[in-house]
Amino acid sequence: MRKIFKVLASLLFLPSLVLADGYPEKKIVYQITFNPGGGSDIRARQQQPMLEADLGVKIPIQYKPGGGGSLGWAELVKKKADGYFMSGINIPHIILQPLARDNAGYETEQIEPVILFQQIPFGITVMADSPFKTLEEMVAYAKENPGAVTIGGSGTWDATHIAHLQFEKMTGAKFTYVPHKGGKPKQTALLGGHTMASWFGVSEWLPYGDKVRNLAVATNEPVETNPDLPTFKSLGYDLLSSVYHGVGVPAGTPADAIARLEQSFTAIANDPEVRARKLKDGILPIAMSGADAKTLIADRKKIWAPIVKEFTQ
Amino acid sequence: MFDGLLAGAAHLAAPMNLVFLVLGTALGIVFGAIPGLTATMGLALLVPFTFSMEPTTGLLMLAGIYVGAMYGDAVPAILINTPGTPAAIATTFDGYPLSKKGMAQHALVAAAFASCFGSIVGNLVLAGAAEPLAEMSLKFGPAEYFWLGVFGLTIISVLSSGNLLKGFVTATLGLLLSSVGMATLSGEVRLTFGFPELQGGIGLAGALIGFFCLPEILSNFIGKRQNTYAGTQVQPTIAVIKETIRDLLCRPVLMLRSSLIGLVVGIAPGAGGNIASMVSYSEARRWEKNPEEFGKGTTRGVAASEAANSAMAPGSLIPLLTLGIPGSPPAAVILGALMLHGMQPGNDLFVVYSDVTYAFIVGLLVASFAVLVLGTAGSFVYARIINVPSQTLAPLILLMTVLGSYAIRNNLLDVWVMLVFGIVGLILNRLRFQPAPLVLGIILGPYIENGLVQSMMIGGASGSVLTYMTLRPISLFLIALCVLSALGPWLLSRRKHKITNVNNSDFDTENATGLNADSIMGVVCLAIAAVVFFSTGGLSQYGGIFIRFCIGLLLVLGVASIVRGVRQPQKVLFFDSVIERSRIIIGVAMLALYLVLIPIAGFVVASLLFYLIMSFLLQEKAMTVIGVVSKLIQAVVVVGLLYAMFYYILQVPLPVGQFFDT
Repeated sequence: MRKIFKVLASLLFLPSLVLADGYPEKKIVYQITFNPGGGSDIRARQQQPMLEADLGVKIPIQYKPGGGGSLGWAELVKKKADGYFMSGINIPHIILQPLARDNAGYETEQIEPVILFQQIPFGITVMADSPFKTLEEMVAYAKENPGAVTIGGSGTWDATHIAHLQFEKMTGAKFTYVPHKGGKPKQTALLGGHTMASWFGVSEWLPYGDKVRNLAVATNEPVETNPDLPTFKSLGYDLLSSVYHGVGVPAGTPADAIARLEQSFTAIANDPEVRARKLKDGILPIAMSGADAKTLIADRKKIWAPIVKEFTQ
Repeated sequence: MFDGLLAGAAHLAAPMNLVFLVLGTALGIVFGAIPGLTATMGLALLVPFTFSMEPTTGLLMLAGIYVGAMYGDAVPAILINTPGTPAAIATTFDGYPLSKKGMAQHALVAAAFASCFGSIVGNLVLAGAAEPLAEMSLKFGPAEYFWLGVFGLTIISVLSSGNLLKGFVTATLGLLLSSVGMATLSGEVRLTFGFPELQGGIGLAGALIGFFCLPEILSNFIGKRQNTYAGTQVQPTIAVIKETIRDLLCRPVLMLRSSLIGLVVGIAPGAGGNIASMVSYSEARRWEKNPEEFGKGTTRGVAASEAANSAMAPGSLIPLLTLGIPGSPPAAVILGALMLHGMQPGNDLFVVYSDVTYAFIVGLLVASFAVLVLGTAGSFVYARIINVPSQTLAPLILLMTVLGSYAIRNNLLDVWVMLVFGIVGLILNRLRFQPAPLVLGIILGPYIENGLVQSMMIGGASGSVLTYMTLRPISLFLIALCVLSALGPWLLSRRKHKITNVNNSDFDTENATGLNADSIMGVVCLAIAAVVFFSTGGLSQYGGIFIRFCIGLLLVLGVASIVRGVRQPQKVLFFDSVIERSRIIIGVAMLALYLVLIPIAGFVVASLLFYLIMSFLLQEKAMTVIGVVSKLIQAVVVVGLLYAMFYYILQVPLPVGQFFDT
């Protein structure tokens, strides 16, 4: 009930939908919800000069880290919905945080996605000398020895955790999920032999080359960087897991402002040089429109809501 | 390797590269020196500028910033008892007492020389033995981090010699504070008391400024109306530089030990300079011949801390350059910069891009010397800062405390937390409690909690948690260190029992009207334990174990404090005089009003008003017209410069206020 009230309240404070012809007329703040120097920051700083050239205004970058991004997104939905404040958004974070916490400070629906410009598919990775040669071997071992296989992830209620819970449900096997303080400590733990397997994104396993072995990736089609790597689907598990990065504005932002921003970001996302650099780092370049992103968010929320409910009660 | 180093050195012959390296070092010193700004932030802000540069030039500039910041944080630690970054906490222990004795320049030179020394040792190891040491960094798992954290806590026994109980009480409160916000591993929200903004946890910058800086200002400037910050005047001379460096050169063991400690802590991924300098300081104190000089102002204490945190920097680059694992937060930003220039850490760096990599390593070495030159030359300027009359300096520092605690996360709640910590810090000081163990608790809490929780998970999967946590080489080594460290002072104190008693008596001034510090603290502990217990009932096993452990500790320590307070009452007088009390209360009220005013009137208006009011309040004599005008001009210039720096250069979104929001 409180959630409904909040959404209604945010609708009430809609600003005038009439927008001056000349959007944008002044600087547009680009908020990063993670620490300076992190992946989100460096990506935004790459986009910054191109955005400034295309939109003709300054794009200052502001930081509001904390709570796994939630502090920044809470800040975003408090801002005036006039098209002059945008923020980096991450899926699944903006779906899972409001689901899993009593008061994340924002609701998913209060954020209007402008574009999703990149995707990092996730999968299960082991060290090259691991006894598990295939996903099936690992699942079989876990079924015989419930809880004995440790699988690392980047945190709780993030992409790796939700994928893990879905995977356990599908296999019926019991693993020990070990959350870490983000991606890097998770990688270190696998490399040092502290965990037996780990949920890795393509960009995370690529640098380690032959030192690691990937068992499966959770996409519809095989990934470009590892064409021979089986998908979970091809092995009989209907699992899709990716982190998407994009940009959002407060719900209620005038449609033409969103369209203008989307146009600008889409041009950057489709730039051949930007695409090539992302692929080299193991990141899939995409240019998903705000409307498609909304559908994706709604679909994922439907699948995840019951799982989160089951494990938080 | 030598070919690589030579090729790398060749890059530095290019004047442009050298210029950017020195420029980076100078910028790094500034970032390190301003509380609230960190090496991480400086690096992050400079990374975009390196896009347009040659990779080598860009990386050299970043190298300079990293090395410079490791020294810069010592400057405010020495001069105003405020660590520029958490890595300089241990620098305050002896640096500030030196300033108070009028020996600020000694401390500054010692810091510069030790930073340079530590950095050189670290870089030589980085250049020579990066590969084999990288493997060592992977050995650090959850159990090792847990024991590293526990070992860190045993340092309290060194820090609070004479009163172990007080040290443990404050450290436990620090551990509890570290658990505020979203639990790193279980994702549960804890102890936020209804403020969603606290989900990000307690900001370390706010804690440092609140516990170290604010109590000094409230007490010395506002309460006692001290004329200058440290109460003494400094006249920097060249002779001091020679004397200080000669002194430290006679202590090769101290310098080497400190550097090696820093290096090892740097190699362990995730553990940064914060821990390095604390461990190094306490080891210096343990092994030196005259440990009683530590804490009262000795250049050896400053050197121990600074050599360690500067050696940490190259240490943290070892796993970064070889494996792509950053050993510290700033190293993570350097990783991002490498990737942006298309260089993937690992073998690539030492094979494909070896000349850039070695140029970077040589750059770090050259930056170490730049620090020595800039630091010793700069000591003439910095040292004079504390000669500035307090009416001018105090309002400026107060503005900086607000900006410093705000800037890192752009969160006004962090500033309020800073103010509360400042008041708590003042109360603790008056009750003869040290702030250092508390901040140590905040820093070490996450290592202990995450190490424990992950060990329980992984140990549980392997059959036995206890076996997993203890029967590992590094764990056993750390456990042995913990035992030695915990028992050491106890054994020593038994031997020298009588001497310590005499030493302690100088502040045990009996006063019939004073407060019983231990009993008060004991009751507070029990109350906090109760509040925490009743507000964390719904946590899961993993989310709650650390908090329950802290509650248990608080109960035991609280009862022990009360017992001690009753059996050996140590009465302390809270305020020296009624005037002091009212001055401090007015000072705190002004700060609170200022914070209330910021979101309403905006940063600029609120700060101008605050600066003027504080200047007038601190003025003893009646002011002439010229005096008033000059204060006005001063206020406009100070606020204007700060605003320009934070708003335009650092792009911190300072509040504009409700009236001016367009």
